[in-house]
Amino acid sequence: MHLTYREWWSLAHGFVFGGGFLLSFAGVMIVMYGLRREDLTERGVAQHVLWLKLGTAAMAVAAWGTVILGTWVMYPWYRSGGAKAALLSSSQTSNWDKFGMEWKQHIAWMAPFLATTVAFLAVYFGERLANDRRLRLLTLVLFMGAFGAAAIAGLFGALITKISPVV
Amino acid sequence: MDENKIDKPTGPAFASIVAAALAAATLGLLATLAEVFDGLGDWLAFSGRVGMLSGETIIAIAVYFVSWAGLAILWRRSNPPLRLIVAITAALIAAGLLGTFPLFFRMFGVEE
Repeated sequence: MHLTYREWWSLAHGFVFGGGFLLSFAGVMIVMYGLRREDLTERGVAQHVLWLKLGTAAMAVAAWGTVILGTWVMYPWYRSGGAKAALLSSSQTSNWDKFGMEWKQHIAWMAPFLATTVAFLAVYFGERLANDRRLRLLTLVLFMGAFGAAAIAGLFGALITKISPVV
Repeated sequence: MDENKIDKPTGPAFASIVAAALAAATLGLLATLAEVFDGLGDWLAFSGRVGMLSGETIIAIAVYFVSWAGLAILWRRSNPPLRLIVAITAALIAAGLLGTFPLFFRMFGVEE
């Protein structure tokens, strides 16, 4: 298997950082959802909080890595390397750029903002999230928002790359 | 639980939430305005390679961290009402989602 220089960067952007973020979601979600004082021992709460802090912090880093590489490394190649022009050359594919890429490149940036905030909430509130249902729910909703933004961006990224790859 | 333990104020944490929503709204506002006004789009092209997305995202990042710091200082000892924070956050994120949705900014007659 041979990958070009740009394909290695694409792998880091979409698979390592982006894929890592999306794949981590289920695990961190289970930890966050299960963080209830009434269902856990003291030790269980402490362990859940530790995993929540580590998981959300790692996901925030992954989200930043994904959008920074996507915007500053991959997107210039997409614009100038022929992938964008190839999509725009046909009315059958032009909406993948005009709608898909336009939406993806913006909505993706909501993920690191929301993921960083979720990580901060986990660190700041810690075990209080196990006691306060409203704070836990708020954190959960923001976390799902970060995932939703990343999932939309990831889906369009994968489809656009399939149709017109950056090579 | 220690009943004498006093919870930290929610202000700094809520500041982070509102800051994220403000950053999302900033992205939406700039994405729409940059498409509507050519001059703004050109100005936002901080990097020629990236185009106006560079300016939009750099400004949104600045809004996120500066507003977080500002609100955290403002609310460092307070507990802003959760309902108000949720309402502000929901409205700002909705504005951000709307403003970054291509079918929305095309309503203003943007031509590619």
